[in-house]
Amino acid sequence: MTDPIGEIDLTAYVDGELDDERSAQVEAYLADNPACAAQVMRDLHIKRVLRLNIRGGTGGITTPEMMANARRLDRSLSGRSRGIPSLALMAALVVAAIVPLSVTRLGQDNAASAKPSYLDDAVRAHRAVVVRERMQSQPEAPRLDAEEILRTIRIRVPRLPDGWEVKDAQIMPSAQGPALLTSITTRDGADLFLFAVYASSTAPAEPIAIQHDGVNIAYWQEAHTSYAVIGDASVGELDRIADDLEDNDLV
Amino acid sequence: MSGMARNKDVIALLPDLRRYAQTLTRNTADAEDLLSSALLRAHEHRHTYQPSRSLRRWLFAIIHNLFVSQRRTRLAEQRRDGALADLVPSGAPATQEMSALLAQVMRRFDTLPDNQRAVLHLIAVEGMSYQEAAETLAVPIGTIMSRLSRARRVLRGESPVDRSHAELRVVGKVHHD
Repeated sequence: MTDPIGEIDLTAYVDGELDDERSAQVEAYLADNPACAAQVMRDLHIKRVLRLNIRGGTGGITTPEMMANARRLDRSLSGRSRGIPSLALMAALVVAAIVPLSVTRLGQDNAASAKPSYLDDAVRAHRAVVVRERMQSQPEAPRLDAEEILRTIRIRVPRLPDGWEVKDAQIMPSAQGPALLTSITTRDGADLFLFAVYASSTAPAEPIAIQHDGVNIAYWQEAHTSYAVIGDASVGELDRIADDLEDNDLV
Repeated sequence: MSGMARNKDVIALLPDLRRYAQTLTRNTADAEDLLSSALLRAHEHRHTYQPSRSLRRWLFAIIHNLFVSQRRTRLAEQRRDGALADLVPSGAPATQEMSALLAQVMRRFDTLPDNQRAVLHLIAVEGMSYQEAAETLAVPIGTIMSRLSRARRVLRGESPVDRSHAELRVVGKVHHD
């Protein structure tokens, strides 16, 4: 004996709030009630249209006063947030609220097993930048405005160790949206390329270094952003460098 | 990275916060004012923030409470009603084939009562669960569900009057965080 399906059930179904058992009952009911099924499809459509339209809106500019207020609030709160659940966990909670639950459950445990797809974008971006650097007519952009990058493409740039210099910072296309590729010279004069894109991935929280598509690359994710470091260094050395970067505060 | 200072979280949330302010006020200038006031209030009340809770929801709640208390003065509302014809569309320009339906949906969305518009925004646009929306707005989960049902009836072009006999009951999973 199951409870009759009411409007509240249909609303909860549209929002992915029902457990599997109740969802199955709703679906069986919808299969026999085309008018209700059409209404559910309409609600799903409206929900997506709202989301696309409102999220796609430009919504005005950030005034300097607004930035100053936000920065001050960040400073006043960051002193209170040590030793508490990490931003990565918060991001995961937010993602869990957006992604249908079944997907989240599946994705949780085997997060470290698959090579994340953004590595291909990182390697492609790296190749393009290496070509750029050889060209006279393609100027480099050595000023890395971490705040602007955060504001526009939501990427947090790790604080670089002392003595490291940014040679070039370019926005690159990727399957996950605009990515940042930063060309860096380390204190020892070695070339290093840091790729970052605002997206969750299958990358682990602790960096892994591997050979991929002919380059040595280390990758990890933190705070809903996926990172990769490419360089001439050995895989072991790259792993250590990535560990250092991952340990550093995000700017 | 736990144990690390978290800098610039609020800056990263600014687009989400502004979007919510825009949905509540339906007006870009009022949204900017609301967001500015909310950031100031959050700073003044920073000691009430519990780091174990979601910063995002804390800030959403501040925006919402501020909006509700400002609305009580009625001044902003009168100004808005007077300028209803000049409503700024809430989003980006639509592609041509979508635009008729989209315009209709957005127009109906803008005419929803404030509390229904707020709930629908948190669920549909920000992807919050019912539980998270209930915590953000400090209302029971059943209230979230009935507001959603009513809002959806309006967006479908039906009468907002309750035509269902289904009794309100809490369905679905219990969310913990």
